[in-house]
Amino acid sequence: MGRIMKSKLVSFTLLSFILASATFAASKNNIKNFTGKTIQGKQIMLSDFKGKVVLLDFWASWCYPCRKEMPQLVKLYRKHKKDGFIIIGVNIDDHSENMKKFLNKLFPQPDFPIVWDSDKKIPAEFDIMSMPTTIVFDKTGKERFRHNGFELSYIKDYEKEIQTLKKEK
Amino acid sequence: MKDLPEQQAHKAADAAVDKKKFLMLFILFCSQLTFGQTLPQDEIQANFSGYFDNFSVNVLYPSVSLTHHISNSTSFSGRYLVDMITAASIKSNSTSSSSTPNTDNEIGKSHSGSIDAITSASSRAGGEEFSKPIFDDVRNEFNVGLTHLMGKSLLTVNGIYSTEKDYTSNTLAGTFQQYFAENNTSLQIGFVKSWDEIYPKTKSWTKKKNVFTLSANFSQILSKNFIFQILGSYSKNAGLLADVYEQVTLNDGTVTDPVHPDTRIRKSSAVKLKFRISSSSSIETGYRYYWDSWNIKSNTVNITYMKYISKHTIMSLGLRNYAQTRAFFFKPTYTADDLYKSVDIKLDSGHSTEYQIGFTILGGDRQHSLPFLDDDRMEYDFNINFYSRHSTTPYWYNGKNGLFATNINLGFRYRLR
Amino acid sequence: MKGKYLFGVVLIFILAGLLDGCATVKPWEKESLADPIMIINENPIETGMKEHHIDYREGSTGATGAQSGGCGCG
Repeated sequence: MGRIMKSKLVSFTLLSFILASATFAASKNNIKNFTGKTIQGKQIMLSDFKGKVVLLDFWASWCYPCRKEMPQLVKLYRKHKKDGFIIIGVNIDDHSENMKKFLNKLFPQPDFPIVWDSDKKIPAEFDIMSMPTTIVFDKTGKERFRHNGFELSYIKDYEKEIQTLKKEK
Repeated sequence: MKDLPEQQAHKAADAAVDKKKFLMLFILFCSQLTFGQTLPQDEIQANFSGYFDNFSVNVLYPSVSLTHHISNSTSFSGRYLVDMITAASIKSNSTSSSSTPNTDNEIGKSHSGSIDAITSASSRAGGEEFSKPIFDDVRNEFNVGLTHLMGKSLLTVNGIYSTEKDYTSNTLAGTFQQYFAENNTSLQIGFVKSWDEIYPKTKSWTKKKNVFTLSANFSQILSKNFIFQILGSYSKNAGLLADVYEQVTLNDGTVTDPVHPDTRIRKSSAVKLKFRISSSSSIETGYRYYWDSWNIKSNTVNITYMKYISKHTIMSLGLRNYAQTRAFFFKPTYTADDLYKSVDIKLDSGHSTEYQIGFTILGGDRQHSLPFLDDDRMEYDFNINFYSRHSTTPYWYNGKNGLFATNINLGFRYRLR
Repeated sequence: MKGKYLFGVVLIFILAGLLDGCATVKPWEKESLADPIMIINENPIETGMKEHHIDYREGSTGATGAQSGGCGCG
């Protein structure tokens, strides 16, 4: 194979992978919805919260960074809940007792809706790539920010994003 | 001879293309850094282990380690380990002498007093009956490391310093781990470089030994209940590779120092499988093949069964079988004309079997809450291994072919939030 | 030589990229794999402690997943 041909092949291959990876990395702009039952027994849909900034958190009790994130989300919710902000937790534990055992140990307790998705259909709808995945939606219901995994520094990012989206109409 | 203008133009074009390619590779690499990965969990761990065998060697080795985030993307780890070796209860005076110089023309000196031992160290004058020695040695090992998170990649660097009466080792180790396919696949490459200095108490010299090892580890999650792993390593050892506390008795009764080749290339490859067989149990099995430039080949097979025997207690049962061939220069007897001479039992053909039973107690909610068991951040481990090894040639020191050992490990792990 | 090196690196990334299709288990399906009985070498420090004596008694090394160095055992 000639040098120029080899070079073109390599460049094409590399470019393909960059593009393929970029499609995974890009924020989704689709407006998505789901229906779920909270642990309190209430049926909710994501679209019920149009007009509010929504932070959707996919988590599980067996996931260490998820366990680290949850108490931080409880604090975040208490700070912003009066200003048109809501957190919805979607838990995907196989057994709800593991989820409840973890939640019962938290202080203060989370006072935002938590859906137990026993069928694990909701994560597939939202193309979840890691645990936890935290998605922030604007007031129109459009996905604007997405975070994979969790480190404590992410809370500052969530704060900035919530403030930005709250100012929007 | 100077390049022609055309050749210079080609070289410049090639260099430009190479730069572009490396830039694109870098961008490609960065583009993979899109999905979260996590640093090791913060924890404190303390272990206390003991080894006791019928060669009168007892080793106690406690260790303590700490892992802690120092930033959102970096974690620190520190570990201290002590090897405390004793054998029998009689201190003996002993001499170590060579009737022939070793390859470096160094001559051993007579030495009296307690003799260092690293489980294989001992000395005996030629012709004497076997006698029970006492050997005391303490090795201190300090290990510090940093793990840095870069998207889907983890980079770890460790420095290890080990010191004892007659041996000092400085080791630098690093690993790079990259995750793919939604964290179902991981590739880890690592290196270890050691610079060792050996200064036996029975000698007047200091010699060096260097070890360089490359390793690779590929893991693939095949299903929710099945993981597959391939491992490989390549190691080059150079320098003093013999234990000069061991003494070789020649055919003519002369006692001399062992002489090994001064380089050794060691390679191994292994496969591991882990699969769940029920909601509360799993099996891990593995096979390793090893071969080296001293013509030693070995096969290792192991299997471990793990089962929850209660909500918070895991029992593990393990079996390991090992068989190796002999180094090309290892013989039952030696003459003065032999270039290499060794009584190191590790280089003889033989086989070993190990049985292991272990229990892991996970802290967590208990109806009758005991404070040290109720916290789900705590974990307690207990293992006992029964090890037996049979070598073709009797051990030079005590004339035994069979070694029987018991290894006990107690561990405590506390996860910090 | 450079070309061979570059080809090798590209090949690794091609294979790795293809492995994106081998995302056999989704992140939300990994509860079973997070179980301590399903993690290979869940406690590397403890594994190292249990295998410490083997370095003193056998002539082989490597491909165990444990890191070693410093004791002059081999």
